[in-house]
Amino acid sequence: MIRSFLKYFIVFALLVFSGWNLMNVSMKVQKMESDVAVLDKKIAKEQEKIRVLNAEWAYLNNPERLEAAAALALGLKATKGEAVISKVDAIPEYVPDYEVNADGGETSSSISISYGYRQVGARQ
Amino acid sequence: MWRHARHNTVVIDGDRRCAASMAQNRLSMLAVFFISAYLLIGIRLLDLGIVQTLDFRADISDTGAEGVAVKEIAARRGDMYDRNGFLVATSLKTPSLFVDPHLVLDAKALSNDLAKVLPDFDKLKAVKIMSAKNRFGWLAYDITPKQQQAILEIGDPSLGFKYNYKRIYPQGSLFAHLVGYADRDGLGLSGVERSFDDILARGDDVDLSLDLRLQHAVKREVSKAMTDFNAKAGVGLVLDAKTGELLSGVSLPDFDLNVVSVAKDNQKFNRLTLGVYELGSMFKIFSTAALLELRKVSMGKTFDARKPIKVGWFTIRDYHAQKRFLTVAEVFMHSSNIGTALMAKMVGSKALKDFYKDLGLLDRLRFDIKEVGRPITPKQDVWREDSTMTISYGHGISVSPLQMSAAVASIVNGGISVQPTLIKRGEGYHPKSEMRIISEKTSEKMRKLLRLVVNKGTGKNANVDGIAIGGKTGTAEKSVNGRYSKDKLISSFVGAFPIDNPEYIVMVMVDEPKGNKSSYGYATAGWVAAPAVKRIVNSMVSILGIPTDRYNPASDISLDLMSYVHDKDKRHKKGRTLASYE
Repeated sequence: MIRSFLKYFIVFALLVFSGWNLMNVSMKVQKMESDVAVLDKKIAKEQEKIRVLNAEWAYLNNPERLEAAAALALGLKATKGEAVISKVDAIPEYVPDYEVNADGGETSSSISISYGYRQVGARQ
Repeated sequence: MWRHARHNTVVIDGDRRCAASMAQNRLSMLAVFFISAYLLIGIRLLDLGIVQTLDFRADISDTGAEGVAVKEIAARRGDMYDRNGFLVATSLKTPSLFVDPHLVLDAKALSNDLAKVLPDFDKLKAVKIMSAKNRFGWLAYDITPKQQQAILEIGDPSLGFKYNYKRIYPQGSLFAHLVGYADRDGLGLSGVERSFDDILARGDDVDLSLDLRLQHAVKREVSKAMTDFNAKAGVGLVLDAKTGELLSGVSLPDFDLNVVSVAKDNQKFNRLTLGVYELGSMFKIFSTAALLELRKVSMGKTFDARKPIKVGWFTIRDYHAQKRFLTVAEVFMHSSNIGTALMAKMVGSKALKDFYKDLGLLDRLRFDIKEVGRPITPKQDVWREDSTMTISYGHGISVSPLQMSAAVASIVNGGISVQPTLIKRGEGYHPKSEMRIISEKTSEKMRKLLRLVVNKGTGKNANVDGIAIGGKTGTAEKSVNGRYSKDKLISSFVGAFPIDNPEYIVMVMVDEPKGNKSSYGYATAGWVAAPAVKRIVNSMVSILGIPTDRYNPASDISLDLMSYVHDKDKRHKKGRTLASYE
């Protein structure tokens, strides 16, 4: 009698525990869903901000503006046609102004080659 | 437990026994049903509460990084990008200010406050809206985030914001006529905005064939030509000679797409595709190609250009009469009207008309925007001889500049018809149907002739160091009140380079240029449009990285034709080269 009561009690306890656990999970899910909704909103807001920034970036990169700015601030001009050549060997070697510093530390400044323009501003 | 109960049961026999056992049966069936139902629920409870909870935990840690689909409030119109991915048109969420008149306490004070924040705010109109009987009225559309913040600081409960998408064109006026514009509700009204409205409206992006950098260079040079020669309008374009992609298309004067409301009709008019013009001698390209293709004549065949020829009531003259027999090469190089008219006579009216039709010069161009003009051509089914002869040098036929460039591309690219497009083609694109217009051989001859024009003839001012460019000038008198005006010209130049295997067609057209000192008073194509094309090609060299050390003047393709050129070239003084003549 006691043994069978114990059996039923265990089953009942298990069921109660399971029910409690289920409710727990369900609450968690609800909480998470509301978190996701908040994050979704945040993401949408950030994406909208990014869109505004992209538009602003495109506006600031307007070639007309850049050309004027480069001429004004950097003294840059458009490359001349003869500067564009197909054979790299035809370029005379770059000779830096100094080879070794007085204190013997640093060597020549490096040449930086820019392939920039085609990649800059490419779509995100 | 039933076992114990059974000892006390009364045994009933007969009919009643039957009823009792039936009741018992029903009871036990019910009991079985409930027990199994509770068992099911219990099992399911265990399953959900314990077994699946463990799975659920595992799931979270597995897929935690998965992207979340973000729903948007309303359908956002698709963006437009240039061929290198630069933003050309986009839609941004912007607030618009409305008022609930029911909640307004002091209309005057409120509109005074708003006027401090919003420029050109109409106070009187606002007071009227605020004192209306309804519960909604717009006060300002598309305000900036800063203005919105300032309005929030006023803190009036009757004010509110509604958000919608506003079309933004970061490049302003640069692509005015091709990109076009959309209205407040996002309905495309012109350009690609109109012709690709369904695609953009469903939120898809459009990649244009246009190149922002080239567009800027072309606009800069065309507007320079316009200011230098005090011209009314100008057109410039760069076309991919093989794929037909329009890399740049400029029609000036233009307008800012962000403030379309202030644009004048003159600015809105698309001269690139909608306007049709008599482009003059450029048509000699097609007439000469027809002669070489259909009549198989040699370059050395001569035509009598000793004196003007009378056709009906009209006399065909040369701008710079050579007054001698000219070879095909010389006719083209000196842009002789007489010679070309005689060539056209040799080709024949029907053949020439069919040839022009194949080039697409007689029909409305099929293009990716709807603003496309119909060419103006003689109405007759069969062209009269005089029409044929004048049309051969571009007199009496009007086409759009883009149409002209596409036809030139078809001639120089090996003879395959080119269909211009505004949509970016992928790498290694091949058109679905290829229509051959002229043979590869004729195309090569034409390339030599075009190079000859720039190397030795009327297009010298288009010569670019290190690039073999071929081209043709075209100067036409404008028809004013039915008469051709001597001082109102349309000067244009179409160039192709590199001429031994053309990749790009560059065309510039200037409307009503006035001669200046640097052009010795001339306003003809060689002085106005050819230098502009030269400057554009120079910019293209550095923008696109086209090497300039591949061209060798000693092996110039036009030198093959020099045996057909018999110029006593001493007559021309320095500075006044042939380029001064059309």
